[in-house]
Amino acid sequence: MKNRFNRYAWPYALWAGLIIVLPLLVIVAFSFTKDGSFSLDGYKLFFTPLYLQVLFKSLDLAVKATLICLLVGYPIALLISREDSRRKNTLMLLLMLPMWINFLLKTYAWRPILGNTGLLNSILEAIGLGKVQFLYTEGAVLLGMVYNFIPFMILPILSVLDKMDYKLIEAARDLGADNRRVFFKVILPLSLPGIISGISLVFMPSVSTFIIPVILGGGQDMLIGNLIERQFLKVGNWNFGSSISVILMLVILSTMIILSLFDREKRGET
Amino acid sequence: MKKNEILRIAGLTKSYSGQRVVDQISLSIDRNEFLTLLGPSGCGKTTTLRMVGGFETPDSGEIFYENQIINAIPPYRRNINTVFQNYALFPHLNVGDNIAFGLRCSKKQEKEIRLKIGEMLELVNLPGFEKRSIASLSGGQQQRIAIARALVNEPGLLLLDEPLGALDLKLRQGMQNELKRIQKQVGITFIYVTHDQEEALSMSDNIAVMNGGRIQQYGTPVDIYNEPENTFVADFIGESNIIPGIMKKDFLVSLAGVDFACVDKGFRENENINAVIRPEDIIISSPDEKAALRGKVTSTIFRGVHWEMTVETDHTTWLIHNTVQASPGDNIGMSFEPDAIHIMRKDREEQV
Repeated sequence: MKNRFNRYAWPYALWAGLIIVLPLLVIVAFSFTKDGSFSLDGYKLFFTPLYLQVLFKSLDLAVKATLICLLVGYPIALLISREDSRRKNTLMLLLMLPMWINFLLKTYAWRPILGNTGLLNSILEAIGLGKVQFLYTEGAVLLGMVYNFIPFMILPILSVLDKMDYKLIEAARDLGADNRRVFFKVILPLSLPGIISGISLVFMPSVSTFIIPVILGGGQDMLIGNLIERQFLKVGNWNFGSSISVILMLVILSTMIILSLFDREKRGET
Repeated sequence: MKKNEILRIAGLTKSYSGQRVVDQISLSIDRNEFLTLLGPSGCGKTTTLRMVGGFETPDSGEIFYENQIINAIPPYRRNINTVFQNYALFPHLNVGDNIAFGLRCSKKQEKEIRLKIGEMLELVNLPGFEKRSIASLSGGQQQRIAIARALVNEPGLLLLDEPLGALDLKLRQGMQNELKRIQKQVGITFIYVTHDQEEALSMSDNIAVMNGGRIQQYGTPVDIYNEPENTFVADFIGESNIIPGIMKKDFLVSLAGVDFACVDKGFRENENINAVIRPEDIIISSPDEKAALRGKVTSTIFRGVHWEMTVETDHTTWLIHNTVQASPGDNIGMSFEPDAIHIMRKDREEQV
């Protein structure tokens, strides 16, 4: 059994080695070099207030986006999970539909809506409320993140809620739990695995995105994704870019570890 | 109104997409009674139970609990608890927290809760299991915890929906005794739903046999077994020979062309009836003149306690249980005592 598994696994191993592990090693190698010799300059440079601020800004926005996705996405998942299967499929299709459209296009589409002469401001002017600066704000960047990544929050939560034994909810009601208690004592704890994968799936792209701040933030707020892009494509400092990439990877990795610990602790408690 | 009555159901009806699942059911249950709703799957027994529990709303009819209509009261405000078919224990909570769930809903003191969990675990013979996780329990243990979780709230009425259905035979028999003991000990009214007639007969004070959304017969296990009111009940409870016949006069019935003395009276002269004769009540003899009926054995199966034989006569096929074995091809004589014949009126035929 084990031998057979190995035989079928080697194409993947090869793929993973060439496409994932090798580039990663190259990046790590680059991050520790300068002009071809070993150096910690990239890291030293990053740990200065200017760049740390970029990291904190990115984390701040990603955490906010993840929280909004959770607070908005969870009720949506709950509502969809309670529909009968036909309506459920339709709603899930509607949820996935935007994912079929190119990411750039979807993000650009917000510009004529949010812009100074855009749809939203025309409406606001027409009803006499005056113009509001939507585009090129932190809010617009957040909106872009939430809009693009919320399906990744809804889907894993929905799949957990969908599989939940309805009898458990009935049992809770039978034992005297009102709707509030049923939700907080049964539904929410049982959907925790879905919440945790949802958080990881939204947080990861949010913290590393560089397209959304460029299109909707107008490049005003430099995020860590933009910083990396700039080091590679504009400044040409691949070593520094690699150092930032490694730091970003470590940030994401530690987030995942914390989340999985939280998940396990919750389960271990039972 | 009976003084001791805890639950009364009057004309309860429920349909799903035009299909009447429960059809005009009326029942009365006394305090401390063990009532079983017995019937094949789809007979409406579980739906009836779910309406009492508050998980389904009746289309018409009333449910009275302690003389109050409870139709519109949600499950969490009914003094009724349920043991679900597949236990429905909370997988994210340990045994103690599962049992404590109801007590915490009613905001009991944590000290009192600890005490009660201990008591309940004693009652279901699982002392010291507080900290165990649900996943580590066997099916039988989960069953006991489900019972403890419901009983700890001291409900007036406990509903049990095929609670032993998922257990294997040996465990099921053990749990039958256990359930009966628990019911006696806590003195709570049980409504028990099952399709297993043996379970129903051995545990219940009263049984309501259901089919097609209606109660076919209500009575004690002995009555239901010995005096089935119609062919459905006779057929469903135990095994039986159902023989059409004519009631010639009081205490005389003609079955398969032969006159038999019986213990029933009060029928019209020559009224068409069905008679039930249990397989174990048939006496086997040699096929001579003294035998009331004669036939040929067509099959013999060893059942452990007895032999099960089918016998062909000119009129019909008989099922016989006997500790004496007859081999296929043997000619045998059959007879039965007057009180082995149970006469059923045709107009009491199954109500569907």
